[in-house]
Amino acid sequence: MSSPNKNSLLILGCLMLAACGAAPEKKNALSEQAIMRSERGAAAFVQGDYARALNEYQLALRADQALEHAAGIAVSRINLARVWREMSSPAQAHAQLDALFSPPVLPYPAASLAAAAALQARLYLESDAVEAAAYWLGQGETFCQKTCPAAGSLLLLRAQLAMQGKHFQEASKLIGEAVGLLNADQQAVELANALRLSGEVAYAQGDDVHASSSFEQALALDQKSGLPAKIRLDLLRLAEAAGHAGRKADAQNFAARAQSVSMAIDGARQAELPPAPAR
Amino acid sequence: MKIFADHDSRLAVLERKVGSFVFAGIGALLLLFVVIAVEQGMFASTTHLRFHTEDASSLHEGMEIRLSGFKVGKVVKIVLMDDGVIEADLSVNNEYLAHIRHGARLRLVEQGLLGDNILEVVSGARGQPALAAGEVLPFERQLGMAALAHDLVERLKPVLDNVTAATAAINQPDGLLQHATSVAVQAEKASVAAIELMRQTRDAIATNNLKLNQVLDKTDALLAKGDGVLDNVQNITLEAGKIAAAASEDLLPLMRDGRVAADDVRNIIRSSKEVWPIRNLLDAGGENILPMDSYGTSHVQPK
Repeated sequence: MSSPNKNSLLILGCLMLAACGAAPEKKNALSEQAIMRSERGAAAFVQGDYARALNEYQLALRADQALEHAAGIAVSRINLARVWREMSSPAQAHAQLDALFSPPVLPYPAASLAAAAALQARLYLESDAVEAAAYWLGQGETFCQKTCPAAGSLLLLRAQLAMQGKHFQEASKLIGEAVGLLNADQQAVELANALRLSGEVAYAQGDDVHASSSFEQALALDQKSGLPAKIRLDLLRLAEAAGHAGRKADAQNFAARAQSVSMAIDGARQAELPPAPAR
Repeated sequence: MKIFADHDSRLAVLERKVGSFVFAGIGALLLLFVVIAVEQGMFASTTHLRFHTEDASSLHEGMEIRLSGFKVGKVVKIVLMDDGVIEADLSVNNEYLAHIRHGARLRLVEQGLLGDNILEVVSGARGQPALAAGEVLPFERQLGMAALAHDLVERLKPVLDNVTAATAAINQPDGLLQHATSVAVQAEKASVAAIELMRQTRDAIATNNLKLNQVLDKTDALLAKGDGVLDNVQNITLEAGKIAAAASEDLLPLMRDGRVAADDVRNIIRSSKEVWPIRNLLDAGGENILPMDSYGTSHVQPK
């Protein structure tokens, strides 16, 4: 057979293979808009541009609401709550999350409800409302049943509750369970959180060596994830652990590093600020 | 036997019948051969023409020659001559020779994806003299799928090379982009200084109306500074103009080529994404919850 005919057969074979698969499901224009807005919101959130993230997620929510797309509504509201929290507006964050647990009731995915409950618990924990935090943790665990992506986060929040009550053994056990559930690739931030919490438990129990080791592991993960605020936190914890162990030079070095990171963060924030208005 | 024939007239009749049958059979066979030969055009009046080529691939003896979809002849013989040129001998039916005149060309054409190759006669202009036996017709090949793909790749190569070279040139430390960036930074600094000057001037005028003399003194000083700033801005503008003039000659064709290449690549990627099995390997996309963070620094105030 001549070469062009061989090529023709090859092309025909490829076309037949291509025809074998079923045509992908086409999304409507409004769904595509919601997805696009959500992706833009995530990009803005990662860059720390919370005002733009808020706007994009609100547009995504509006598109999802127009289609009554329950899963999309849940995702948009949870993400909006995250942005409001970063903008120091916990009341707005709670309002977004409360909407998921109030009428009109839509068939929201259980995993999304578990994530929303975890975020509620975290917000309450940050405002020292321990009972409310415990209530929402229970709600999250009911929705999740240890099978959802938020399962590790729920355990870490439960561990933080236990630490507040000085139940260090229980906290250590919960952290161990959480590490087993977390995905190292997709949940590196939570894994670093777990290591930092583990270090804090060890520090509280006087085990400075274990504490330093855990903080160093958390620091390595946070450096890999590129999160300056967390890096600063890890360095401060390392400084505390080194100081407690009597390694004053190390403690001073870690503290200086933390201060350097802190100044870099503040410098970056200053650079982002608009120029001062004319007097 | 002769004795029997002499004595029995029935044998003679039988002999004649057998002879007639054999002759009729032979006649029928001959008639059949003649019919087949006529069908095959063996008795058709033909004229022999020739064409030359450097490459005999896809050519073979017996190959059909068509004119406007009609079979008008065939390739009789293909010979490699001493000088390395390949000569093909064609037999064209005289019935159709009136349509093949001087100026006509022969073209090798692929019939569809899986079809055989044929030789197609492309008629020349009307009113040309008729062809004589043994004349040589010009020969050409129509680009097949493989040749088209090869041609496309060959055309794209220089475009992609240009894009790569342009990108490298732009990204060099002393390249166009870096130079433009530094000019932009200087321009920004100059504009900030100018704005600050304007602000100071406005404040001075607004708040010091009664101290006109002082204001005038200050304004003189500010104007002196402003002159310096404006000189800087002028220099920067001149430099930017030179860079733009130098860049525009090379950059515009490059950008045009780059845009065409980028559009093609975007179309190819978009099409590929929808083709099985690639689409199964890609993330379908959708709205995702931001990664959970159960611990961290927070500015949150109590609710």
